[in-house]
Amino acid sequence: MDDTEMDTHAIKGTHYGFSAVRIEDLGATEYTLVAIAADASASVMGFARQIERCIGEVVRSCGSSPRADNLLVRTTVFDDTVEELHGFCPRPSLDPQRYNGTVRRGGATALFDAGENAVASITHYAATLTDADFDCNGIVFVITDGMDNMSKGCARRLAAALSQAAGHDALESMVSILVGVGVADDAVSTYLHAVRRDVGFDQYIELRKADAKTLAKLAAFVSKSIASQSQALGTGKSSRVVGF
Amino acid sequence: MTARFHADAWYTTGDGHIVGQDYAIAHDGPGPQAIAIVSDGCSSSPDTDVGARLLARAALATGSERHSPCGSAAIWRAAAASEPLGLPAHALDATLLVAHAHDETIEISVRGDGVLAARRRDGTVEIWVVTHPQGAPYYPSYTLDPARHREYLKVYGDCVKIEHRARDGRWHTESSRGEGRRFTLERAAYDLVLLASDGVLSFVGPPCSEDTHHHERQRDTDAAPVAVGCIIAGLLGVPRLHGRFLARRARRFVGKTCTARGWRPLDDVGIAAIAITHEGPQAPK
Repeated sequence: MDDTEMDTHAIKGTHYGFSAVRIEDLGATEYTLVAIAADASASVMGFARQIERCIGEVVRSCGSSPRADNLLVRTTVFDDTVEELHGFCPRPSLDPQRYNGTVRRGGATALFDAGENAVASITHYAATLTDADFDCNGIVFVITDGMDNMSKGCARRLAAALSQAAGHDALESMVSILVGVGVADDAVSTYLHAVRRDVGFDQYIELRKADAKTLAKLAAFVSKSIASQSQALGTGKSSRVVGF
Repeated sequence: MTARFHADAWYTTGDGHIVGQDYAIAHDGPGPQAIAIVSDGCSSSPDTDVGARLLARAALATGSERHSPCGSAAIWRAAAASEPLGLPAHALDATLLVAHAHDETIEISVRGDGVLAARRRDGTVEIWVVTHPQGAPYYPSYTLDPARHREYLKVYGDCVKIEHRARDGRWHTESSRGEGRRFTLERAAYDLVLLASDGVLSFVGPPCSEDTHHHERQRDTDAAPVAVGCIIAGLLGVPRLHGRFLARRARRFVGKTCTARGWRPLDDVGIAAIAITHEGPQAPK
């Protein structure tokens, strides 16, 4: 999809907005909003290609899901700032190859800003969709290898965004998953466990390695989680937690 | 001025049915026309779930060719399609409601019973409820069998009752004779036209206090009929006239709003609508 087919949305009180496919172009009656925020800071450079492949594989896998037409996927990358690779797009319009070369920025880590933007974009777009009678739920993945050192916001703001999403009428349910990739350092592990607890992520997946095999497994987990959450739409509940 | 039409349809199985016998279909082409069709299979005849679909599809094919509702041609087309499938003759016992939108008018044909509703551009809603006084709707399939047709007319006659809720909210009742009823609406006056099976009359639950017509009168019990005006208002409360606008609205209204209010449809519900989505200057000839 090109930019002329997308609407841009501001998120009040935050530094970043988002874009999304025009409501007029949506053909289904219900959608699972998927937001993926991937760390592209300097420390990720060693396995950036694996993360790109992982996102591409997630998108490819979602394409073969029976719920593919009910997924709207948004992907961002972050270092000092947050960059939207693409706004909420119907899965069939996404080319899994498009992520090649995108997770290479090299700055610091604005983890909380990226997480807040990903969550808030789901909540805001769900509200817009719900006003037009669409049913929605959401799932967000924040993938990082380290500690926040650059956000303008903070963990509390991200927690508030998640809390707002979880209680928002526009979202039937919301699932949030923090993924630590290449977390070999115990201090980083402790930090990310604390982030999960303090922010209120539903799940924390920690990957000590960041090799191709591990990230392929992550792609399978993310795809399965998305499918599960999409299948839960209409039940009024979140999907069951998918094991890694 | 030219009009653009957008059509959509939706149907669901009522609480009292195992197999849904209502069907609805809608089509809007690239040109300035659209068709909306609802068919309600008779619950006491065999395989009318299939028959209602065949009849509706036949009406769509016929209407697309002739640019008019054409109920009688559709039944012969459906009969020709049903024969090689080995369907029983009575499988086509189904009502047929067709709305066909043109540049200037929207032509509606009601064969059997059902409901027509139209939202004017000022937001007011008109409703026409078409019923047969003895509860035996006329099915187009009767024309396939002259003896059966004669028997129907002998027993039930050809009287149709039409209850019309006008713009001012008042109900008027009239009777008409004939095997079908046609309506012509001035296209420029309306932005949304809805056809519905009689399933919209089958909602029961706690009262809604919107209407005063006898159709609408409520008993103070949880199982009382819900006023048709309340159901139509919910279905016509479409916030955006694009995509699957009617399916989204109906899912939201029937699945959530009605459930929250304790309302449920005992009968199947089939609905189809045409929205007049855009007007602009007429293209130069």
